[in-house]
Amino acid sequence: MKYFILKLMLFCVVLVGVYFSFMYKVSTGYVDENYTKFSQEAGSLIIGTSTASQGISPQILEEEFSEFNYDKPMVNFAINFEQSQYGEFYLNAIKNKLKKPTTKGQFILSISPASFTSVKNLDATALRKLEKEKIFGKISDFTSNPNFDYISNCYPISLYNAIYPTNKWDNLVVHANGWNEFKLKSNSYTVTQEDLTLWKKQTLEFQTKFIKDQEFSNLRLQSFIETIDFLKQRGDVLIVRMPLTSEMLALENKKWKNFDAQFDSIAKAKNVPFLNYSQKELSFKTYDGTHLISESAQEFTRLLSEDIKKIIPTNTAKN
Amino acid sequence: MLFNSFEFLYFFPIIIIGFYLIPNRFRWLWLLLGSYYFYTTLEPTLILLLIASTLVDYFCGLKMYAAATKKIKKLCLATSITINVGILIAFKYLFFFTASFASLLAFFGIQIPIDDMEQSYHISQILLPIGISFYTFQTMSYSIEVYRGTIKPEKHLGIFALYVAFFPQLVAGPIERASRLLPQLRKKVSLNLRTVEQGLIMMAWGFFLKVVVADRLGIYVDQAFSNPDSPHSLSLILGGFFFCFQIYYDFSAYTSIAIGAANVMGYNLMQNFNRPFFSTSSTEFWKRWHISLMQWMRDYVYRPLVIHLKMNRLSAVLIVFFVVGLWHGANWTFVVWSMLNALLLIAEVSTNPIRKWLFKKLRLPKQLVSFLGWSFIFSYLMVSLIFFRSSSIEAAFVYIQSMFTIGSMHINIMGNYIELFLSFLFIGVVQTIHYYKGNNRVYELVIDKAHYIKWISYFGYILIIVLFGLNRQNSFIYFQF
Repeated sequence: MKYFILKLMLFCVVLVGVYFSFMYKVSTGYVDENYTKFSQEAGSLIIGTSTASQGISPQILEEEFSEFNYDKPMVNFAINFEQSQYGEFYLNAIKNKLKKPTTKGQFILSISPASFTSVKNLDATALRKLEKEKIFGKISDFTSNPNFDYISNCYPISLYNAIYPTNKWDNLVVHANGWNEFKLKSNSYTVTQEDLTLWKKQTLEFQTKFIKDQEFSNLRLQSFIETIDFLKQRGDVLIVRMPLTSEMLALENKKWKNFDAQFDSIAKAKNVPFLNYSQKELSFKTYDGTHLISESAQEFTRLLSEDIKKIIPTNTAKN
Repeated sequence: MLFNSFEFLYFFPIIIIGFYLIPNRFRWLWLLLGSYYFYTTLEPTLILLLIASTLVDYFCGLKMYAAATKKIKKLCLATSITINVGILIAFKYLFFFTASFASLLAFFGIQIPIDDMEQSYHISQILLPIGISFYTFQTMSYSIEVYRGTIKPEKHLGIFALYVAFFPQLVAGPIERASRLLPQLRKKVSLNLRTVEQGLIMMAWGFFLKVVVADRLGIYVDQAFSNPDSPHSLSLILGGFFFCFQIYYDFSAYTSIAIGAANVMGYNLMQNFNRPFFSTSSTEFWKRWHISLMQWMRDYVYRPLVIHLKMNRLSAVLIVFFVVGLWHGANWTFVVWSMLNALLLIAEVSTNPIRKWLFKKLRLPKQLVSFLGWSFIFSYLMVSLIFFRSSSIEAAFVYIQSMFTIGSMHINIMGNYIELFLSFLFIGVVQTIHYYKGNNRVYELVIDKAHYIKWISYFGYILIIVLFGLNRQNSFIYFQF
């Protein structure tokens, strides 16, 4: 009996030891495109879906606003429309992501219809159940490095990748501040015109199909408003709608006709600026119709910074 | 809670330690509380349904046994079946039936708005009580057996509740019979280290099947089935091939863990699989696949139809398979999958004499006949399972059409040859082990071996699980049924 228990304990100890060793090994290299968003405390945040994740560089914002003394670091905490739609769990993650004493943060809340959709007729219980299966519902640690909570619950592939990584794509550069930079040219692959045409076609097809089954969720809208209320206590809040191609805009406008007007009125009611780049004729380049490529993302972030500077009362913000 | 979750890693040892420390007469209570806790982590409020089903069958069983007339007995049985089937219909099939009815009316030109209904149906799938088909079938089998007089009703409400809610097999079977499980729950269990070790090895095998093999295959399968009109026909064939093994290993993994967990506590659960993919005929396959469900159908649907209602066997088989299809889920895709298999079974049984005569005439070697039978059964199963996996019948037809359209030979749709290689490798390893040891004697590979072989196996297992396991904590496929 005693020997049996000792054997079992040894088995468990070795299992746990080997498991944590490999998790640690994974954390020292490339984990996945989202890991760096969960491995530090933040003073300022970029929130939203993949368009913001790839389209806004925290580093440029930090540089542009260096004289404003916003709390650092700024982290791009936007993931994608499947994982980071506005909701109870995203708000909880934001609360836990921020450094405790943050009162002068800069918070960019990116919006698009995709941030507010859900399957039709979902009530709060059903929505909560679905949200619990996503990253923000699965983990409770949003700041540790190494983040074993993230790796054990969200690392989607086997740990042998710690020794021989197979999930890294050189064209997507994952920055320590959470920005996912998409490069058309990398050491291993150069994106061709055919790729771009195909991706745009696939994205449009996917979005057309996706939008059909979705409706605007008032539960998500409520969470978005709560997010604004919370973040306003911790710094300056700004709502942004990212630039996108005319085809995508037409698709979104067809389904949600009053989207811009609705958020315009929310912004006014909450007294936060709303910068809408979706309707503007801009020359930013995307690789699939919605996500900005590296150069355009940097250019857009600079444009965004300039526009923010124009609307934030300089004397208050610089204090 | 899922067997492959971190919660189970602390839940199970606590249950086992408590089980052996607590005096025998209170163990039922410990296990019952544990089982209810196990279920509430998955479905906090819907446990009331489980309790309702338990109470109904408990009291119906007692009433039936004490009934003075056959009429009262029948009334009690009818009450039990009506309530259990009612629960199933209300929570699993109501929207499906109404949406199907609306579609039927639309076929005859009567349009009713079904958009919201379809969405409600979708929501009912999200909130579907886990394991509902398993525990309602288990409680119904109890009532039927009491009615038939083959077992006496269980007087102890706690032990009966444990029979319904016993956590290893609560959410995905095996669908146990009262005559097998109830006496075991009543008896005194003494600690037997060999049985405990045997159970732990079976659980470890189940975890391996789930997190290393089934979930790995699932990645490729998800990719293939999300693009049924893909021009890569070979990748679609491979997707279908992998799905056969994914669903088998996923369900077999659950069964192995359930049987192993029960073994650790000194209980024996019935087997659910017996090397089904080595079957050389459809008849053989259905005796080896999801055994507890097929035996349930045989005893409570097929035999009553043939013996009591004098229905011809062919019609009875069609009805049984129709019910099997619906049992799997509220979608016609399951019914099509099941009926395709029913048709094969009927064709096989009715052509048996001719085929035997033909093979004899052609003097074909027995091995060749078996090989041909195996190839045909497996290929047929693979095609029929495309309906099982597809989101709709239309999508399944598109998938099959694309599969048989000569297209590109590209198979690496995940962009990862290592994963593809590992998928084949693990299928090969598991099938070889199953071939020699069957589904249920895998522990023999280790249990009586020399100490050093055992330790090498245990550490090798740790490395394989850690390095090649997937941390997806995916639900078992059969949870949704």
